[in-house]
Amino acid sequence: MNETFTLFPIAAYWAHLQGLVLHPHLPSLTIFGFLIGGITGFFGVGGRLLMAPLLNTFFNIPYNVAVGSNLSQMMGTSTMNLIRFKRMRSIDYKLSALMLIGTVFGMELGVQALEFLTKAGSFQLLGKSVGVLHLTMSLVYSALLLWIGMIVYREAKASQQDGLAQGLLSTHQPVMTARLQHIQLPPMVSLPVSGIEAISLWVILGVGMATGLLIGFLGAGGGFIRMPALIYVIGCPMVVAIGTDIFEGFFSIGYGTLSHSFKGNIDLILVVLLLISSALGNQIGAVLAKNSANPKVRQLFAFIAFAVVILLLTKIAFYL
Amino acid sequence: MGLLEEAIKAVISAAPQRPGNQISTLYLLLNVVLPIILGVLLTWVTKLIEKGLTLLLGGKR
Repeated sequence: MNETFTLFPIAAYWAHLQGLVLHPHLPSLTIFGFLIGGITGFFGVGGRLLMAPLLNTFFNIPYNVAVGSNLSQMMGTSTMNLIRFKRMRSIDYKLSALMLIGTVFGMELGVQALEFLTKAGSFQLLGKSVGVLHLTMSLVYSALLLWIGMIVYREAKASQQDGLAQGLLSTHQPVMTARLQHIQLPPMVSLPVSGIEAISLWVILGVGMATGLLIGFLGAGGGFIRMPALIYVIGCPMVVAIGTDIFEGFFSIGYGTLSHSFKGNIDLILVVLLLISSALGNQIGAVLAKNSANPKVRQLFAFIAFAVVILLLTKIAFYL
Repeated sequence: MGLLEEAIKAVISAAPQRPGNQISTLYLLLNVVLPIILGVLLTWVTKLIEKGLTLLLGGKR
């Protein structure tokens, strides 16, 4: 007897009579989605990146399905972000369209890489069979979460010391922006909405490709790379970067969802469940964050990220 | 009702856990359209939650 039947006997019996197959971990997945949504809403960054590795760790959902389903449910959250965004005039549509070309290319690379790993099967290590997909994805997620955790920790520490938020990237910003904006590789494009006279098209395509790769391969929203890249690499003003990130994110996640759909990586019941529960959790997390002005709280995200890394590495160790 | 039944069938038969899963055009469409529809509905629900929570937490302060 599964968990869903034990906790929701009437609903499960009704579904059984209708011939529907309910997810065996329905209640735990709902709580899980709510918590991940809460973390995303409260800390504002990186929460969605925890979704796929934890779906695999706690519920044994294969990485390709976890990534595809996470991306599909993000289609809902990006719709919500787009509806809620009030300043449509501040979106740089030209920049979005150009970035989208790079994103689509990068995303296709990411999806194909995931497909390759899915089909790679397993190999023998220390007398045990190790799945290539599981091992690679766990290591990649661990490295990325460790990096993000360290950035958030340093940011929180710096804001505690200086009394204002100083990001790790912000110290390198003027040098990096100046260098990249001086790349004169044609064709050069102007972005009047962002106030940029001329920038190489290749820089924009490169930024789009990097975010696309992350979206397609890891099922991450890409905002944690796209936002700093728009500000520090391309040189957009903050308000334009926010709007462009939301607008471009909607279409790139849409493309990623479709691409993963073709590979059969999306469990729609899981998508609906995670979308509803995480959206509610997100809202509650965001309201709680508004009421908590303590910069120390951001350090907590770093510890959550480190804990997930330990969890992933422990699972690999047990797997071996 | 017919469309709903077809949609449920498409979702069940395309579930990745199901052996020999069959992906139909309707399933491809649903993967993109359903989250968008839910996103629109959830926007209003979360706005209500936000108002309620803000009132609740503001009242306590």
